[in-house]
Amino acid sequence: MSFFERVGYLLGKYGDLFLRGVGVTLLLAIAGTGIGLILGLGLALLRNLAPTAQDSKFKGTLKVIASSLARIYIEVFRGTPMMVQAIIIYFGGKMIGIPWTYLACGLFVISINTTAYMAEIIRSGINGIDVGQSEAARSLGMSHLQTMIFVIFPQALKNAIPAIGNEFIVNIKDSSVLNVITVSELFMAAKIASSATYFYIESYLIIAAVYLSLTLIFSQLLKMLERKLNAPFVPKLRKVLNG
Amino acid sequence: MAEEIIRVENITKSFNGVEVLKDVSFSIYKGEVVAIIGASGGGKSTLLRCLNLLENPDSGHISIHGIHINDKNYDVNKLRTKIGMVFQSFNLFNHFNVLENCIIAQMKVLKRKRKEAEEVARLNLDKVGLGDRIYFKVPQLSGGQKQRAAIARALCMNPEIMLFDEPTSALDPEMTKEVLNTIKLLASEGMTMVIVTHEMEFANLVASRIIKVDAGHVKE
Repeated sequence: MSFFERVGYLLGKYGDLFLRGVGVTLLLAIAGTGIGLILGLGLALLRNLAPTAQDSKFKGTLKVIASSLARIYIEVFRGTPMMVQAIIIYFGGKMIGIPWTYLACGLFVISINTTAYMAEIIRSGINGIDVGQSEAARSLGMSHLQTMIFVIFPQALKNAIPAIGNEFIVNIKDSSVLNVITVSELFMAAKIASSATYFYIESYLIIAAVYLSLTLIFSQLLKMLERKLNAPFVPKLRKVLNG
Repeated sequence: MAEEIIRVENITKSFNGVEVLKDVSFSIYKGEVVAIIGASGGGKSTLLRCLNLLENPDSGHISIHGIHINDKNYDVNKLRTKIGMVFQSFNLFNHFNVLENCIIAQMKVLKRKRKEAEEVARLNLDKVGLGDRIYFKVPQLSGGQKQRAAIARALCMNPEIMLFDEPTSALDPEMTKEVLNTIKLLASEGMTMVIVTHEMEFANLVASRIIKVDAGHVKE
């Protein structure tokens, strides 16, 4: 068989497997990034807590503890490989009686791993917002949480969109390490197909092409989104005239 | 004498070991327009920012209607709705339009319904001469318009007193005039105001009292 025949053979025999692999990879990347973003917002909020002069000793201490815990979480999850996290969490979960499937555990791992990265992305987004914005909000009587939710987060998120999109692209690729707990994503599909046929180069070239297509498509989409958000503002003339 | 609103007693404030305010005391009475003047870096802004606790004094007391506000556990947020603040750099919320800038705190802090909040906002935007700009985004406004929008935003909370932190320092003369006229209008309505300013002429014209801050000390 020639190279192209081998590729054709793999696609014919294992096409469904690869397709399902793409589905699972996208599910992991999209859900992982989405959940990670939401939890990351909360974690960034905790990480940024600092006692103020008005806080009682108790409240101040609580804030310091929460902030430290958030920091530890971020350091641990950014400082260890997701592959290792996956194994520890999967078997650790089984040990304490969590009856999860490989896929459910994979989703959990990629989500909480992304959370740590997102928290730092959002925190840098928050730090990039002029302090005058929060001073203005506070001077109107808004609480710290209200200031964050209504004034700071919307602006910080907009600034962080390129970095968030990058995290999503990284997740498309990095979800491959979850094959270590046999989540049937794209890498796992190549692993199965290649070990059954011994067509290693061909199998992995196929998924390399698929990964590349996915990341190219999504990075283009993200670029379009960024361009749209940065478009110069067009006045809502009709509204102005009616209002 | 009119009713005392704010009393400042012996406050001090240091930043990194540099004493910015030294044993400062004064009072502000209802209906007064107090101008705070003095050299740059002399502690004017810090003094003003202490009044709504954007800065916390290291020692001394600030009371509003006789209640110490810089004690622990005092509800600062509630206090701040009573004290409007206008900043040198406007600090309008950049992701909102003018109307949204004016209603967000009304809805979230005063729990007003959107309709009521919009009515209050329109009223105050009309007052500052921005009635035809309510759907404009912040970057579409001139500096003077931004500052007037910021004044309207503060007025929407129905404050008892308004603090102005160099409201015209970032503006050219034409726009400065717009903003000063707005402040004069408020003065004519009897609003109690404390204004940190470099505009001596304006201070002499509008202020009922001038406080000079010099190297951390206050002179009347």
